[in-house]
Amino acid sequence: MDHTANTLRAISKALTDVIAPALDPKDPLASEQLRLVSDYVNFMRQRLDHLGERRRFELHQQVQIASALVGMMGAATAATQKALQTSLSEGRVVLALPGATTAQLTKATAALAGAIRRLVREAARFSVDARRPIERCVVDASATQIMFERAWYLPLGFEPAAGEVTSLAELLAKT
Amino acid sequence: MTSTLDEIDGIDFSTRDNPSAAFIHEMSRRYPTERETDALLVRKMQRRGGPPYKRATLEELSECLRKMLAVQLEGPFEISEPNWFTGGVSKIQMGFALDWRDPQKGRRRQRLVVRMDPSEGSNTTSRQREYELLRAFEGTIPVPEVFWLDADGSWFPEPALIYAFAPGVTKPRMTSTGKVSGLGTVFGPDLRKVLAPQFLQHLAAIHTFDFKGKTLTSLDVPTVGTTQSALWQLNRARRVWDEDRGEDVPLMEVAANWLERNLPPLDATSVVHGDFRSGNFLFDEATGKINAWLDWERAHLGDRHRDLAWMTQLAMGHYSEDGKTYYVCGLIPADEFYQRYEQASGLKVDPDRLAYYKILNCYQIIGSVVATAYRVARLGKSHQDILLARVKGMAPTIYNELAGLLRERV
Repeated sequence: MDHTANTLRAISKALTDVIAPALDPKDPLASEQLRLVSDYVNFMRQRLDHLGERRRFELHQQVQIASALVGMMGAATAATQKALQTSLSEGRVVLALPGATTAQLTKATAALAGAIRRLVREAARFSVDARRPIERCVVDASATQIMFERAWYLPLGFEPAAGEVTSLAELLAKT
Repeated sequence: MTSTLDEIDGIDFSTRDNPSAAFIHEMSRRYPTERETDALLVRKMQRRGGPPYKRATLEELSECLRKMLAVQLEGPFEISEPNWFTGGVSKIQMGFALDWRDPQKGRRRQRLVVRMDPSEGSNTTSRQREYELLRAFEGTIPVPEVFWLDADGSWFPEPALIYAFAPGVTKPRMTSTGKVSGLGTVFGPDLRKVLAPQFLQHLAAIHTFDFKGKTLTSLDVPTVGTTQSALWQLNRARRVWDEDRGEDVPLMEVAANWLERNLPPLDATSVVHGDFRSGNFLFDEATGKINAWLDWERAHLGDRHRDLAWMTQLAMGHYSEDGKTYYVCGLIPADEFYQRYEQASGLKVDPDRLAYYKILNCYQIIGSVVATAYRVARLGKSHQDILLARVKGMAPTIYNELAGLLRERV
């Protein structure tokens, strides 16, 4: 059984109960950073069980976008078309693997994101008709990824409209 | 061996931990910007492969200070009461008292502040520029009196400047808002009434400032009627994204394309503060008088709409309790803001230019919190790595704003 969550709880308690009172009161940066560390440890405890799902979700998103873009890249160079097609094929294979490792998921996601970046950069020189569908596709598809990120980082307290954010569990259930 | 093209356009972002000379040159060529900014970014990349930032002690910084002042000052002086300041994300700040003989004012004992770069920070900016602007604005709006500059880190471990300690607070002591650098501070109705007119008056004074004849050697002057000003700022942001990031974000590429296609011509050249907002002015809580405007590090000569778009971003202000009124920087109702600015400055607000800079600002902020913060924390280059690692949590709200702005336009 993995005890990481338990250990994070112990770290948090040590920081609060033992280390915080021992800090030099003349060093405000130390107090400020201890609070940030403690805060992030607590955040990690809340997200620990979902780290694997996050990797899979990210790959799923990139596969979705790339699948849509494949039909729009007629104006792209052969190298860019090949990069997108190859990374899409590999991404689909990894996504279909029930036991895909974190490294496999991360690598496939990065390859797809890189291929999409390459296409969008090239699209800056396309005709309006060739460029517009690509850019619209990326902007529209980003909504799901952004909502996921808003849900993921919600406990850190930066979100100004927390009420609009879909729960993480609901978002993960869709993949 | 990785070719320059692979290093720039590939997906192995670890090469940016220790970039080649060819990579650095290509970034400079691909994204031309102001000369001072270019030099700073080149310096940043050339030093990136060096060791992590090691926190200096108060004693070590005091010794650097003593050596610098021994050259700068005539006669005996005494440094005492060194202490750390918090609140600054991008700079290291040490307060101290100095007993010295001012050639103009005679023997003085003053509270002063050393403001120094970390090895690499969340913003790569110029202490020289900050020094020149503080000097230029003395007597125009409240700024700390600035004394000495170590532009290239001759005495301190990194470039630094020394200015007077300005008394005051950045937010009411009783509020729990504005925890992150003063963003979204709730001042309340009484302070709003006193602070808002000063805020607008100072902003107008900056944007209408006659900079000709002032010593601003570190700032380039863009040509009115051309897109040069917007292009310099866009290129700076794109370069930072390409130099620092550890991941690809296709939405950012769409934004960059749109920004390049829609560069607005400059209608009038203003001093742009670059970070004009709540959290960056100090005021007397009893009287509401603004004592000092700080953080000029992102200042430049260019389009005033950059500042206007910055201070009206949602994260900078807050809604009233009934949710009906949004207060720009917690001070001025949004529906009055532009009209009052136009009255105070005599300058027009152009909605199209404003929209352009809102998108550019989103792009730049994401560059800072996703790309630069990642790289600096990864390499341990600053005194605030933990804070920089955490600001990734801000990115989704800015992505959301950026996507909303682009959805209407692409």
